[in-house]
Parts: sequence; structure tokens; C-alpha cells
Amino acid sequence: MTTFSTDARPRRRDDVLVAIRDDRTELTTAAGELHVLNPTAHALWQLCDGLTTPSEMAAAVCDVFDVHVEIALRDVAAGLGALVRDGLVEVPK
Amino acid sequence: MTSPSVVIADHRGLLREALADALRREGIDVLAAAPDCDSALLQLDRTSPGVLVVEPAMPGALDLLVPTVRSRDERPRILVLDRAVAASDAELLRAIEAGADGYTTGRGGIAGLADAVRAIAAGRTVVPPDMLGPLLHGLIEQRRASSAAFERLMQLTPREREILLLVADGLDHDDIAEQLFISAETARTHVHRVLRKLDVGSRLEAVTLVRRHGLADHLERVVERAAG
Repeated sequence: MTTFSTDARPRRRDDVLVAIRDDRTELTTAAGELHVLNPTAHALWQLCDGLTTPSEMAAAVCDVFDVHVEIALRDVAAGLGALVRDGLVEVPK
Repeated sequence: MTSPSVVIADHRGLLREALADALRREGIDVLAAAPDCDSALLQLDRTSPGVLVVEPAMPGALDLLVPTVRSRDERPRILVLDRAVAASDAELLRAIEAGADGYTTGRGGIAGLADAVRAIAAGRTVVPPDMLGPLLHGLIEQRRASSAAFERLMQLTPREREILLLVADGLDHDDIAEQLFISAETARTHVHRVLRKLDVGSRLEAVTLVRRHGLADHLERVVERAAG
């Protein structure tokens, strides 16, 4: 399982092709794998700008949804982990 | 399962009535349809609905959301129905910040709106999926701006914070001088220094900075502590 420091700054990979079709976003990795993200994963992927930390993402999630910050942090980390495993996001060292 | 009870607040008469009828056909218990904020507040008191559906273009609409109007425990859950042709990320951000529990553009038709009402009534948060990313990003940007503003505030001396609080209360140099038993020229110097440290160009900008980032309460506490 991918783990994240709360001050990591994940960013979208440059080698991912993005296509918008019928209100959904399709992402194709450099390896040619196609991914269609659900709305939550898509929102998380949008936040991966190389500047925003998981802590900031989780705090914003708490502002919108009635969820405890620990749970938000856990869910954000899990979502980012999936994006990294799928080759859509990278975490600069 | 009981159907959610709703009050609609929308200034556009024909659309308001059509919306009420359509929601009733979807099984939503529409208790009242108000044409303005005052009527909406009266209806909220009279009917105590589970959900208030509000059109943000109605004059004063966001006042209905402000927690000071009704405490979170007392007020109904609030769904903002933005039927503008181009619903904007900024409108969504404003609605959520003002205390809305959900926001919908109506693109899902009446059935989609009824689903949103049911979700809101059940305690969930409703945000259009394609607007979630920009909303979160906007909230993050605002937190950063507030944090930067707070840091600038912390650079002020206790006296300068006191001055800023008086500026925020609308006092001019002479009033400040009188209040603090200093000369008007000294008050003017203090104010200029405060503006420079806050990196703003005018008293109005300083007041806006304090209000936008909710710093007034913090400022008052710090000043009280220094005085005590």
C-alpha cells in the first residue's frame, strides 16, 4: 500500500493523456492503460497540482462533507494511493 | 418512509409555482413557495420544513444561509438550486461557504432535483460531481489566503492591532486619536504602518482583509488579552 506524508505534494503525471467524453474524463497512461475515474477520484486527481498536500485536501473535504478529519485523511491517502498505483499521479521526492 | 418537507424560495413566480408542482408530483411535500427572503423566513418559522430550496439569484438569498439568521440546529437543511445557464464554480463556493448543505444546477431535471432534496433531507451533502474538484481547490486557496492574512496580522504590535480594530469599526484618525489619547498625527502614522504591514493600499482594503478572513474576533481577543 502506498503511504503519504501529510506534507507530500502529489502531481498529475505529464505523460497521461486526458480526454473528456460525454461528461466523463478518460485518462490513458504512458503504458496505454485506460482509466475512467469516478467523481471523487477525478476531484482528487484535479487537486494533484504539485503544490497541494494531502492535509490540505482532507481539510477541504471536511469543509464540504460532514466527516471527521482523520477519516478524510485516510480516504484521501487511499485515493491518492490508487492514483499513484494506476500511473496517473506521482509524488516528487 | 416519509417524504421530505420543503419550502421553496424563488423570486420568479411562474418558475416557482411550476417547481412546487413538479416536486409534489415527485412525492416531495412542498409546504410553501416564497417569493422573497422575508416571506421565506416567515414560512420557515411557520412550517419548520426539513429542507429549504433556495434560488441564489433571488435578492438577499445568501442571507437565508448565514448561520446568524438561524442557528445550524434550528434551521432546515439548505439546498441551493442554481438554474443559471452557466452555473459557476465561484457561485458554488459562495453557497457552501455561506452554509448551504448542497448545491445543484438542475441539469438532472425534476427527478434529479427530487433526488437531491431526499439526499439533503437524509443528512448528505450534494455537490455536482464535475464541480467537486474546483470547489475543493477554491476552499484550499481560501484557506491559504486566510493563513497568509493571519500571519500578516501576527506581525502587528499589540498597539497596531488595537488601531486596526478601531479602523475596522469605522473610526477615522481623529476618533482613533481621541479613543487612544494620542494625537491625530500619531494615529495617522499608526494607521499607515498597519496598512504597510498588511500589504494593503487603503483602510477599506484592511477592513475587507479582516472581515473576509474572519479575523475580527481573533483581533478582539488579542486586544482584550493585551489590555487585561
